[in-house]
Amino acid sequence: MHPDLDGDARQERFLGLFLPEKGTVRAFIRSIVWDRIACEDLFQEVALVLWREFDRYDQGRPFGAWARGVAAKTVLKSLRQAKRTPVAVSGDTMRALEAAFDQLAFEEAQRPASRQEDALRHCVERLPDKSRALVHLRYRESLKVEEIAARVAGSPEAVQKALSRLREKLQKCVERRLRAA
Amino acid sequence: MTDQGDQGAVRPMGTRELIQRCLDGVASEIEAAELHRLVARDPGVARLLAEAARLESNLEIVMRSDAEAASAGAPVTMPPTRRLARRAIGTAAVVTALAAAFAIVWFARSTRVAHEPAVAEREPAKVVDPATRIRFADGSTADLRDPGTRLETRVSTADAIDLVLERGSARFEVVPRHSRRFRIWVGPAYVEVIGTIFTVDRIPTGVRVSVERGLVKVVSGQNEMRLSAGSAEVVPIAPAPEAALGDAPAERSDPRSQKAAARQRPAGDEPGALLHASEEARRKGHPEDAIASLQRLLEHHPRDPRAAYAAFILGRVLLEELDRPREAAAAFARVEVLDPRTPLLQDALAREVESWARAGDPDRVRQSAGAYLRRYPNGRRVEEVRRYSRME
Repeated sequence: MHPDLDGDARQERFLGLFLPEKGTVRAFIRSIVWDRIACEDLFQEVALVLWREFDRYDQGRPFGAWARGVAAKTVLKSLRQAKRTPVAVSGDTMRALEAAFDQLAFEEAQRPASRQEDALRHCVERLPDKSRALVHLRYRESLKVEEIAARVAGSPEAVQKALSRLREKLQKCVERRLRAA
Repeated sequence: MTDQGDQGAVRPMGTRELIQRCLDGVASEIEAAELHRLVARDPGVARLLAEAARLESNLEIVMRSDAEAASAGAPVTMPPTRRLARRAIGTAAVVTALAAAFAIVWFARSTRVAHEPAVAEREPAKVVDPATRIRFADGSTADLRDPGTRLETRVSTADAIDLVLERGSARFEVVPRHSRRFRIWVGPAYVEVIGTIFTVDRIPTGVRVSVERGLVKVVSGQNEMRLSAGSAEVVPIAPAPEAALGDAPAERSDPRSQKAAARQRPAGDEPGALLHASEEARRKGHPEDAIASLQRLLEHHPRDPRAAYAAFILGRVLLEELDRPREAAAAFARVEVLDPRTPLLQDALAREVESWARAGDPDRVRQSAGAYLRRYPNGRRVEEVRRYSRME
């Protein structure tokens, strides 16, 4: 894309395009890679590939769509090599997710990631104490469902269901808050 | 969000639950295969998974940020949730920087793979509870003087404290400590403290600083003034975004007012358009116009993810194209305040050293070089920073 740019200008250009999109790129990887640590590792890897291949980016296309396309290929390759998911992810699944994220990114174009994060932080802070503690164990301490169950002396099924209900509640709260803004 | 598929039929509630089980890592292989099959067949399911993964990813980012804030020595006054966060420090994720050939690209990373410990000292933006006195780790305090005051801690480490007074008024009592930088930012201006008692009021036309004891320095653009005990000054600065749009303070929280204000903004005032305008202006050799666009972005969109990037570019234009090193130094210093985890931070700190060197201010060179070297003892720009230090 910018083979004529010097190092600094290339870096600036890349970061200017990448930073607003990194949230959806990470979420895209998270939709395929369900292990959080593996997701982080792959996100790093994808970012390096994006930087390396930045010269091939066609600026006529939305950067986010290009980045997720690169992420899809990188993730598929990595999953095949490392067998990181219990079942193979098909090309059809990947394409369907790419399309879903393109649509999501289009709808979110007017909502900067920082506003979404602020809204989410606000909603978490307003959860009842017990629910907030559960969110902390899962997302701040990065505990697995089984580990949380052991910590709170409950069953993994009950913890998982409680987390599901919480996320649904948070999703609604965030949407309400963003709409109000 | 509905549970409807591409045929419009209501899907069994199991789909949403299946997605949650997969994202929680408790799904069986059969369940995982079933979700993949559904996603490939049905755009409605792909959409549900995308939304759920987005929320999951955001939760991981937001909660990890708060954990880092707790581990970086955040203010002592905290609601119960913060105390819980402190217990979580041991396993909390941290941030690392990843250097590529010419660029650093910052991404979230777990503790297990952190490469650059200094980066973990950075603290993300955190809103301080305005209900009580805020006490910092070094014993310094801030008293918020009215309920509408909004004071954010952007950086709180052993070397530096950066606060942002978004609105209202606060009285600070800062413990003298030579090696630690203590700044209060009000828009693009900042008040820098050695050890003193003073009050900062954000007023519509600027910032009022009143000093009770000691000495403070107020920096706004290329202007810098020192205030001693008993003196008070109003420093004019660009209005806050809300004030610029003519909203009365009471109306700021009203969503209807905010929407009306957004409608008043010209389309060219969006961050992307402003960045584009600044690039065009630079390309055509009009750095002053580039600066105007970047400053506008920083005034109206300080929370946009591109704001730190805009401040960095502003610094470069001021330094390299306009030879205004003092203003450039302030712009580079602001990068961290706008986004303490930006991948541009290391470069911005080094550029700040360079700017002070070009401004011929040896004290600031020493101070900023020390800040860089403590944070990045093995950083890419160590030699360059040392060279500027030796020059002074």
